[in-house]
Amino acid sequence: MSRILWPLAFGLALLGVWETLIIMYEVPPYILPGPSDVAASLWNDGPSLLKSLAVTLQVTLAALVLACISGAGIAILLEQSKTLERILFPYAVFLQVTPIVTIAPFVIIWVDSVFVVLLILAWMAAVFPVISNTLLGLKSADRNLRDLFILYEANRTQTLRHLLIPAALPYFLGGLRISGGLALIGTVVAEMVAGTSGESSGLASRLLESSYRLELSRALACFVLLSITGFCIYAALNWLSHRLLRNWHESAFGNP
Amino acid sequence: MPSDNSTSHSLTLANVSKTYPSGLDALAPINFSLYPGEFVSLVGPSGCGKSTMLRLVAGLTEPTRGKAYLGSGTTKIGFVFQDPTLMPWATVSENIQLPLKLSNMLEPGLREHVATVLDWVGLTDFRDVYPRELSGGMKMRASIARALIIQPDLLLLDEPFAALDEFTRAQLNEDLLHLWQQEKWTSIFVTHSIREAVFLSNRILVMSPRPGRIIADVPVRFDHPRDPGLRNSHAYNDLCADIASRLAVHMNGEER
Repeated sequence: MSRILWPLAFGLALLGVWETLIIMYEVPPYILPGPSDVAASLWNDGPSLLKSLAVTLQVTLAALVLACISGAGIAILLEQSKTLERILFPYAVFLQVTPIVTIAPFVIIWVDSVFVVLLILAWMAAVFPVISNTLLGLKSADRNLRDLFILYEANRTQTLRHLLIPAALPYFLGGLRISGGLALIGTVVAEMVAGTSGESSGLASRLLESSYRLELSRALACFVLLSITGFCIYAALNWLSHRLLRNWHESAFGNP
Repeated sequence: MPSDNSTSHSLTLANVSKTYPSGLDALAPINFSLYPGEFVSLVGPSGCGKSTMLRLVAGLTEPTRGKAYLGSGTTKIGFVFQDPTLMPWATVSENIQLPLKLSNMLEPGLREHVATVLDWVGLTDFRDVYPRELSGGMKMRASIARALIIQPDLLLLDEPFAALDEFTRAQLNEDLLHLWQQEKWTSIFVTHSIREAVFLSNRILVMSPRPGRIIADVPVRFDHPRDPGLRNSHAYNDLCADIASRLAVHMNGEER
């Protein structure tokens, strides 16, 4: 109980201090609105903001699923041959170290659909941790177990299915947890760069639009919703990881 | 591995030697043959190439020179590693069935067969348990059960009990011997415990420090079934002392 109560009390206290200072020093809301203004904005603009959130969430989840499938697939491909890994892995690193903001303008020119633009950029931000962690996991399978599979003349598919994939699962899930956050960040950055507006656009576009109009309460409301979303994605992936590993992996034996 | 139909031996090593790419001589030319149903122990100091020899026999590594021939009656090989080497993501029963699954030998009568083998090693009540819940001794029992499930003609054991406490080790020695009497596979048991080797074997091959050579081929003529009391007999202790002194002669050159 105190695991929830204390952090909550701490947060409320901070909000209280914030509100008090705003009132005491009469800070105008176009510089910094108080928590009550943000709450009011959340309430009034709620329905329209939730629509935007749905847009953002759609891109984020699509990018995450894509990163999950393609990342695992690429890792399995790279594991098949050392040569292939040497040739292709540097490009995976390239994907990771290049800031997506610098690629965005090109993608926007080349691709018509805004959804696809956002999806590509968010995928680029999210895919690397899955590739690199899964590859590490595939290579970390127990050496003696590998020998056992050779001894019993297991074919490639059997080795992959019964040994390499289960051995890589905890690493893959670790990568996925990082990618969950990155997919959201990627979507947000992409939305800001792509510069769409209106109700049919994502939450990050709404945030930017509101801040240009000095409607900081709404901008902060967008920020709050995005933060909560990020937290929920992390919690969901954490739950999934615990659920899949609870029977056997060390990481799942403590508290969830 | 080529089979040798001209002899009634279960296994023959002819001038087998192994030099690692680094130039390290692991095995000097080795010659010996095993008769079907023999329980042979390899004893020698750490690093004398005992494990390398087992891996050669199993086909997990190639000899630099010479050849290992399997007899015509030797088609199925079981291997027990020093570590239990169980798949942590699979239950005891799933672990034990692995060799059958990999050899596509999953048949209707399987359930009973698995139940029989579980009963042999005393793990019937633990069939649906994950390895992490087992003690060290029980993990090793599961590992032995996995090797026995294919009803091997030749069973290779690489210091399987080295990490266990004295009591567990003695118990497992007795159980293994009991199963061998019942199933009559041919065994090569690698150990650095002379007392363990004498208790289990019909024959002991004593190896020198690197590069490994066979320096003595000692028959062990105690009757079966052997009961734990054998360990207190004079004859047993004299034989242990005899083998220890043969090893000591060759170890002296190594002392510094």
